[in-house]
Amino acid sequence: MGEFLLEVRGLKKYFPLKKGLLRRTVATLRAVDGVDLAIQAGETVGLVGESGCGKTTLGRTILRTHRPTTGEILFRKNDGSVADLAKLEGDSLRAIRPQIQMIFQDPQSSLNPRMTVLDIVSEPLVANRLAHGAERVARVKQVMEKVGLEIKHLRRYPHAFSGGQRQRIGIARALITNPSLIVADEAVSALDVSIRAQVLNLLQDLQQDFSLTYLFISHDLSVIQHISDRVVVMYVGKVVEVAPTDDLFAQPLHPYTEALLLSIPKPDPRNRIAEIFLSGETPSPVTPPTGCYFHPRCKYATEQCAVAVPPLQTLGTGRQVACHFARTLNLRGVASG
Amino acid sequence: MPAPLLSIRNLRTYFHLDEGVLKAVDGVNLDLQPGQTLGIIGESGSGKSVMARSVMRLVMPPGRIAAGSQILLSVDGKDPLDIAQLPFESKALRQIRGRLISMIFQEPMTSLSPVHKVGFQIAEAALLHVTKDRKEARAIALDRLTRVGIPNPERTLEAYPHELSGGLRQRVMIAMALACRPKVLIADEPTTALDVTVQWQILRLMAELRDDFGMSILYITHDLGVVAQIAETVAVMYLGQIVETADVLTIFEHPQHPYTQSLLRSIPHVGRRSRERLEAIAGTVPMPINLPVRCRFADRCQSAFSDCFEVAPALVEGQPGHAVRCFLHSKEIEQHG
Repeated sequence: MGEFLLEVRGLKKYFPLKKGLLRRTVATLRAVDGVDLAIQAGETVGLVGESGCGKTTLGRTILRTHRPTTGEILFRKNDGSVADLAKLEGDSLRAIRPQIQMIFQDPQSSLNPRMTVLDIVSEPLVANRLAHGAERVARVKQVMEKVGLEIKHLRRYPHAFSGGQRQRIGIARALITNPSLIVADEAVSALDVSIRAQVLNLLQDLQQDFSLTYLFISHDLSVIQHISDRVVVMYVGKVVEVAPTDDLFAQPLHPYTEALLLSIPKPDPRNRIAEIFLSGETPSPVTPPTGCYFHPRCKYATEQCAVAVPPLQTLGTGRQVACHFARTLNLRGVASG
Repeated sequence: MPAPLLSIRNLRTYFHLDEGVLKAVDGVNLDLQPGQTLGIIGESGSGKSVMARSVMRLVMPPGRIAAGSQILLSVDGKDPLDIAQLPFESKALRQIRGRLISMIFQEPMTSLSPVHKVGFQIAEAALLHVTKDRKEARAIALDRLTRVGIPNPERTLEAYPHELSGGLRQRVMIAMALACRPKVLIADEPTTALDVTVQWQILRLMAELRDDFGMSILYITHDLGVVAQIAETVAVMYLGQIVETADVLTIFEHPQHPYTQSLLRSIPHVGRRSRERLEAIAGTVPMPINLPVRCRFADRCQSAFSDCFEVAPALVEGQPGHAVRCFLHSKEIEQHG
């Protein structure tokens, strides 16, 4: 294994819920509740989970758009030294920002309609005082070419582009500071099937060309499987399973992962399934269940699960799982063919 | 084959804009058999939603159903009624909407009133069409909520939509659509906004309710996996036209139209792991304004030849039940009238 680019230790992000005239804190929303995660340089880690599981908050806390409640976010800088992003503020944080960039889900709302492509793509350069004048334009042109945009469209506005092209503008903006880590939050979820394939292919090409590391956040398991080297599964603020992609899909170790995999509608009409794999809905991160958060929906749950919180334990090569019975359960994956 | 319940003939829905005539739906023919689920597949801009709304006569100006379009509904052996010809505010049209044909949408909050209790909203539909008795209407509401698998249906009757989760709201909307036991349920991407495990619950629920209520379902989606799991017959739409229609096995195993073939190749298959490149369809779906008379997919098609750029292919049924709009399969040219 190479050395880590990012290592998150015991990361928590709680949001206080305030109410009434005095804005008293009446409850706490545990969006990210003690997450450990390591990403090696050059790999793609897929972060998957259903809405409300905290995957977006985790991504944004790593980017430090949220201040973590507790925990460490260790990031290896370009010069090889390690910084704890959780502790940095102001200028020292700003100095690292160009090295970690983000791609957003909705290219409609993440691009300012009143700015030209040139201004949008070069904004990180300007904000971080990395380039100006002719160099700014030259670098924008260079990166536009890389993401497959035509340079003659430099001074056009976002509305003149299709959804797929707009997502390319968002990717160009993320790339222009030469980041080492890109957090892509549902980067292809808003795109049509045929356009999604174009953008996924582009992201894979760029990873090669720029030796990028991706944290790829998505609810879509087919996309996660396609692009990730390793997968992290989250449920109500906690990591429940980490595994190399093939292993995870072939044989999940956590009952929640199993239910997720089996619930994907398979594009195979000969293999129609009437079974329901998971009933009920995700609990609220304000009032999570006792013990294992998954136990009220888990068909394998025992009394122990309602009481004891299962720790994330290592099981086999590169695999971690938070389930009391991971060693004894024989769960179903989706066939590899 | 029995007479179709719903028979759409040469449906054309045009939007008269300043830039020209946007032909959202341009000559669609479809038959929906009793008890059948017909899946309509298409990307954004394919006209699939406008087609569905046309059946309910929910197209608003500047949109208009062009003269010559027929939407024939034949119930219980009576003479077919042409929905396209009914006056907009007519009693006959009101008798059809909600009573014989119901519709569910992607975002339940757009069809549920935020200021009325769930029970009232379901009972309202029943009061309008099937009973004058409030108690009976309430009993229907309770029955439908139970049928759609809502835990604690009595309490949900008294709840407001905002108190419910996304999955429960979708169930409430289905309950509302089923209040009058419609013959046809039009489902426009009803599970797209839901999490994968909840999506699976709703898909299974719809299959079950279809059999219980003896309905036909027109299921509109962009998700090939969903279609494979729920539909018996599939129609693939591109730029306002059906390019291929066949039974679900044929569509997935022997697709003939290059667009259908590319769509199937551009999705990552779960369980069929490869980090190879996905086959993307080049270009994007153009706006259907002032389209030249020729094959609409020609610009993006890898198999296009000279004819494709000069004349428009007709939708031709080469094998029984399998129609394709492509010169590779039939030389027949579309006649425009």
